[in-house]
Amino acid sequence: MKNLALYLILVVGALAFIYPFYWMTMASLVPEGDISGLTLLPTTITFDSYLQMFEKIPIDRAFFNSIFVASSVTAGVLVFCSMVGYALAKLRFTGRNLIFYVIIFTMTLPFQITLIPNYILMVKFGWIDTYLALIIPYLINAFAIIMFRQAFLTIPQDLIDAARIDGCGELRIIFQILWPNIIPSLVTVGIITFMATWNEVLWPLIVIRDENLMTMPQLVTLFAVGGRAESQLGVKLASATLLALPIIVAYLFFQKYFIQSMASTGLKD
Amino acid sequence: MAEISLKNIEKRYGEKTRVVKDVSFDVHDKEFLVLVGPSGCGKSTTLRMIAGLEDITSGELYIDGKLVNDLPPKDRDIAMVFQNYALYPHMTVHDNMAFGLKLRSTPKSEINARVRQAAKILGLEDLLKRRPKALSGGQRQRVAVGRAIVRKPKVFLFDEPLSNLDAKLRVQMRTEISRLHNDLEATIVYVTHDQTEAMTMGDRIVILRDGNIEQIDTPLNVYNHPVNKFVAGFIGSPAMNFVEGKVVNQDGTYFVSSDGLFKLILKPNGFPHLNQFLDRKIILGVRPEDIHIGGEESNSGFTANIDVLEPMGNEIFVYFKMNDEQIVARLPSATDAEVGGSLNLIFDRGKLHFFDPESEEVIRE
Repeated sequence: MKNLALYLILVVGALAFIYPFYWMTMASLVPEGDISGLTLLPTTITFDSYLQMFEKIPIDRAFFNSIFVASSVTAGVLVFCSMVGYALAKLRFTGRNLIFYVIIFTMTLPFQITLIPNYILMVKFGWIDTYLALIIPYLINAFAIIMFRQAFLTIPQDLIDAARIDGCGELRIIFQILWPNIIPSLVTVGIITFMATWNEVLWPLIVIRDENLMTMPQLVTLFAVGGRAESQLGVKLASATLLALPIIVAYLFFQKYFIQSMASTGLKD
Repeated sequence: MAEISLKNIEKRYGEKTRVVKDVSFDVHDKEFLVLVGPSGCGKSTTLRMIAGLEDITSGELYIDGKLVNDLPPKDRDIAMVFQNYALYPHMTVHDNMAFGLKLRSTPKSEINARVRQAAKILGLEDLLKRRPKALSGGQRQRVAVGRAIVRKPKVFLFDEPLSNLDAKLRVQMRTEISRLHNDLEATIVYVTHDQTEAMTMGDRIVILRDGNIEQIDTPLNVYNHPVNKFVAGFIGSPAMNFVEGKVVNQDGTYFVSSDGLFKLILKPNGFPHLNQFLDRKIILGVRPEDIHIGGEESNSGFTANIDVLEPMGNEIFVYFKMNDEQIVARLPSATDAEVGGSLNLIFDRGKLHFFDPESEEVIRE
């Protein structure tokens, strides 16, 4: 009985989360006129909204840009933040804890505070309207560093010493010995970074003006609220559906690791 | 040829914490040297400095006559076996053993041959494709040893390799490592806190306390001729018994325990070196196996009131009090003894040790 109530609550909760996505997807697949009357099942299915969207904006190019930027940032974060995390967890040097606290402190600064200085930096570097402006500022982040530091702390020092005696340098220790043993953390950081980069709108809006370099969320936002969708809800929803799709697919692939990493509290057999 | 030489080695953390203090000793070619001591004595730190895993604060470390203070571990031609095995969890047994060779660009055919040979020596042939997770503790430790021997290093370092194994497996691995030492003719430095391992495996033992060397000698010499009370108490199980007392002159020279209840005649049978301690405090040390049944009071025998009995099967440990301190005697299992009863015992006067209570050094003849 207790279980039944629990499952009932879970089902209601799940439906409440799923329904907006379901509605968005369905509404992008029905004729414009049917959207207002849509509740559950559509009567006619059409890809008109998608075709119109492809005609109006370079969404395929934006899709490529988003994939390229999000993948580059994710790869960079995994490499660089695991290096910093390793140093903070396993190397002994003066000021190690101070550096760690400073890194934690940066988490308390809202993005809006660093927005203007970062923008000025991009202008000075001449990176406005280049991929560099979208990628380089995101290559290191405090959250990923902390995740990696915690993951490396659970690894016994002897394993690293054994690798050193076998002939490994520090980089080989990180990437060949430690990485295979922290896969759940890598996947978690990877997914979170990919999602965050994928969904980023404000920063691309500021540093990218060339339509050919715009990321999907940027383009879709400009398209949906910028007037080019000509108040057609179906086209807007089609672009939003396309925007959400890669993240959902990625999550489905990696959810096992994701949940494993989120559930583990540093216990290791 | 592989010799190690430590000259005035020091390890300090900050200004005040001295973990290893001015340690000097040599490890000879093909020697099995054991570093032993209680927790925190600096034995593991010393080993890690030899391995290159810890910086040496001051002093010089030579391997085969070459100064290696600043050489990284991989260039010292050493292999190390760790307490918790430290196998790479994501690699198979074969890959674990082959990894060090791969990094040294050894030809694949030779890697395979060496791994197979090591697996044969250690009985791991059927396990080569398994991951460490699927192995028992003993098997894991064998893989760790295998990883060391495939490299054919100049020096093997063992850091408490048996302390995670159960008692039976420990005895088995002890003999296996001793056998390996003979077969490979390797130079080995072995760290343990277990004096049984030290006694049974080592060609020589280095006993450490608080970062200082207390004694370096063969196991039997350490056992029979400890240089101080610490070594005497540390090596041997059960440990040596100590009785505080005085040397007095009453119609002959006697040792009298502090409570006055035990009296041992020292003269005319010998012990002239104790003359300087006449009427002074002294500590008498006697090993449990040097206490025997029998003896008259006139001949320094005494009556022991039995507190505890520990029958071991082949022998029996009898506990009693002297000076309110617990004393243990190791007697034949046939001894007729019961708790609360008494036994007439006598110390073997040829095997007594005397220590200066101030310096705790042995008083030499």
